[in-house]
Amino acid sequence: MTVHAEPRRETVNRLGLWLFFCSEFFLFAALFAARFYLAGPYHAKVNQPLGLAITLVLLVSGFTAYRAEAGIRRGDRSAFLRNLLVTILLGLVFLAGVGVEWATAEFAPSSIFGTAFFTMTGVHASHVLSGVVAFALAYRLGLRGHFSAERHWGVEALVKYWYLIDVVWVFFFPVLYLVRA
Amino acid sequence: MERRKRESAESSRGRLTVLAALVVLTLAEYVVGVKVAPNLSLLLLFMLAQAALIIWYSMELPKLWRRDEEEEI
Amino acid sequence: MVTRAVEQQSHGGPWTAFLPLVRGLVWAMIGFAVGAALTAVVRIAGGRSAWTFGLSFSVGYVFALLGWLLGVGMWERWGREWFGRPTVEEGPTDWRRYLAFTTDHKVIGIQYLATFVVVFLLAGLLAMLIRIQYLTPGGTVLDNATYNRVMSMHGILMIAVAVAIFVGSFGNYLLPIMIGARDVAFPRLNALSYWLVPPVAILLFVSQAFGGWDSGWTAYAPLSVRNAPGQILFCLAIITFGLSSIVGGLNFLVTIITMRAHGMTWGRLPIFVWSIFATSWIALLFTQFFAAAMLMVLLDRIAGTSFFAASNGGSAILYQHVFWFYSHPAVYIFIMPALGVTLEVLSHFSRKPLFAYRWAVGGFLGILAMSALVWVHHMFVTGVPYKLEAPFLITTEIISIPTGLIFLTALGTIWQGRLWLRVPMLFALAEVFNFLIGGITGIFLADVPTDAMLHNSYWVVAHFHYTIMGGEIFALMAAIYYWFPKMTGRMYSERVGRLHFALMFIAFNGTFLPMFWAGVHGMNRRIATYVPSLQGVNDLISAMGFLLGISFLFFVANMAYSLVRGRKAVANPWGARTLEWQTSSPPPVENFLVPPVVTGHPYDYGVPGAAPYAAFAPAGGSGEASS
Ligand SMILES: [Cu+2]
Repeated sequence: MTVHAEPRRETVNRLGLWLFFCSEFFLFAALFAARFYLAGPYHAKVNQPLGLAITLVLLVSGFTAYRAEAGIRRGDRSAFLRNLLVTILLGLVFLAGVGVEWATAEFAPSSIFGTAFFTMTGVHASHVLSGVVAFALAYRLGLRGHFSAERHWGVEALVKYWYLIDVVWVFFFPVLYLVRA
Repeated sequence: MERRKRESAESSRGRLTVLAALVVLTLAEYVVGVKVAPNLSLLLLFMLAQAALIIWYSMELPKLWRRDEEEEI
Repeated sequence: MVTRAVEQQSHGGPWTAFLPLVRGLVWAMIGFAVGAALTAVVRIAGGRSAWTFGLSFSVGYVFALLGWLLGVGMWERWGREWFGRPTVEEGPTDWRRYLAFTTDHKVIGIQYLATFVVVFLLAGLLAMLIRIQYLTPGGTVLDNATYNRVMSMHGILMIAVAVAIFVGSFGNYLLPIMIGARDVAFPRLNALSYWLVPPVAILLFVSQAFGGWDSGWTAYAPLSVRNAPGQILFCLAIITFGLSSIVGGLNFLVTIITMRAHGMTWGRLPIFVWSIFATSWIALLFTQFFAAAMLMVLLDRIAGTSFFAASNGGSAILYQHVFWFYSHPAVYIFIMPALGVTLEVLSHFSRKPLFAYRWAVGGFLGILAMSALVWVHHMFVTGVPYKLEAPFLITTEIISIPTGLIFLTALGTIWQGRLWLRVPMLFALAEVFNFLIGGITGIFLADVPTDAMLHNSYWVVAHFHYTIMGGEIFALMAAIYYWFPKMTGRMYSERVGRLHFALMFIAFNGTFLPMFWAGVHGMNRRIATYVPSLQGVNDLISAMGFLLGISFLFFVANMAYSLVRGRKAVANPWGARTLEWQTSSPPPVENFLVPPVVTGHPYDYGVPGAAPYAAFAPAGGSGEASS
């Protein structure tokens, strides 16, 4: 008889991860609200097609991240590694897109829209970067035979985190690139 | 193993549908934002729809309270 | 090689206890150098100077923090896993574990308690310094600039104590035991949350070498964007501390939700656990806003953004919105666990069931639900739109209803009880008294017309100290005396404890009650001097303040003496029903020799036919099943 109510580890981990997401949501909400407080529902001249392009890249990378997770879940290591690599590359493409946007922006960080734009894209991009680094570590582990159909919580957590980054961008893209009144 | 592969293929198709929906929503949002009426409340509908799709299907929020059978094996 | 280092720690001389700390500091310095060098490379590539204080220091600090954590022991316990290597689980098991990256929740609880009691006493010394300053109207020892820095330091150290001392020490030590668990849900995250604290302290003290900061604990912009570079270290410290509290809150929530013993339904949770539950949500979610506010200040200072630069269209009011959206809910991080402990102690020492348990739980959850809806009451006179004032006046008044529920629970519990006036009970009763005064005087600050008069006066200082010192610190003392036998296995001296209580209670009220009067008569807060007509009342406050300081000497002496020489404590000296008293003092590793099964209500004292709170199966495993 198990007297201690020891829950399954996945249940505990998953709950912790979601609580972390709730917390992150508040950070991004603060920036989101500050953006409207400062600059109102307007935006300076931004490269809208580039914004659309990197948004699509991020959405597709979510799918490849899922394919990687599905790969390791059924024990298919090569599918896992292949899709993980594609996800990392797409993440880097996204970061490059943000870099181009930063380099060519026609507004300064000291303007109020620039303040909001650089801060929001910057904080988001730092999350993307942390995701890419973590994926790279997972890739290295995968190459060395870690993770399996039975043990892949680390991969699942990273993929969920990657989707969190997606969700944030889904809110940031329209309010930085599209909204006018 | 076979069963896992089959399930995986099925949910892969499901995920592809979700991705397609997200892409369509993003393109529609872009057209609305650039050509039609880029006002916040309209865009907010798009944002919420996309976020709901990702959180429900991609991040598998329901798994938080549902025990999925695959892991019970 | 690494394993060998750990073994040396468990077998070497006493000096080996400091190895983790030394290695943490060394790795932090290496990390700092790496970060600063990276910044230099990027800046030189862009044709700029290699070193600029704000940016280089901030980037360096991020790497230094990682170096510190890994160096202090996270590398063996956790980091190796990221590179596919097995973690090292063995570490020191004697007193040296208190200076190491340890995952045992009881060790972490003691680490938190010791750290923050020291910080509390240091910040108290600064308060003494402020009272010395006020011995004459023109100030005695500090010039204006130094006074501002001293006042700021006193503020933030005490706020840090208020945030962390309950949740970090008693939450960590007792919560897993009280719900019948072996440890928290994420022991390594727990250790991380503690080891994030020393860098905060180091930054705050080192910042004094860079001019410190003079913007109070609230760090209002635009002053915080323009003052000495010490402010940058303050911002980094707060972000680090925020991370610690977020991680802690997350851990407690998952622990409470998933790790309860069999039979520990939500309706049988000790009230202290409920208070930590509500508190943890606030720590988890709202702390991000303090971090966001600090990030904005940092960016304005080092990246040229204009969040708070009015000349470019920014707004200093934005700072206050973001800041108070955390910092009002934060006062509930301070007070809710204190109220939880108070109810806990009142019930055990009144030998009566906790009155209206469900309403008290509702009170905690009600405060949680409303905590984010009142923040503008700090900004009534700072130029927010008039249309915001009435709604926030009303929400602020409404949040006193759930608080009132808890208060009525306290009164109902004492009512017709057979009060057992031991030291913890004395402090708990005093908490109720002080918090009542704090609550009532808060009404005048919630109401816009009176707030317009009282804002920035000593009325605010008095009100805040009545709620936080009178509320939280008195409850903290109740908690320390109450659980001292459990945590140390020894009894404190009842006589010295009573003396400490009497002195502290009289001196506390003697110090802060006259401050209301001083505030109404024109004493401004956060100013190094005051008008000569107020010297009389200030002399009284100072005298009482010094007495308050002295009262803590009795406390420290009592604790230190009892820790070494105190009478051995039995498992359950208070005859209490909750689970922590059903195991040995101090509890064994993993808390219970035999896992408990909860079968009754925690507070059924003197209830005829009440089921025992817990059974220990298999029978005979523990001779200490509850009465
Ligand atoms: Cu408030």
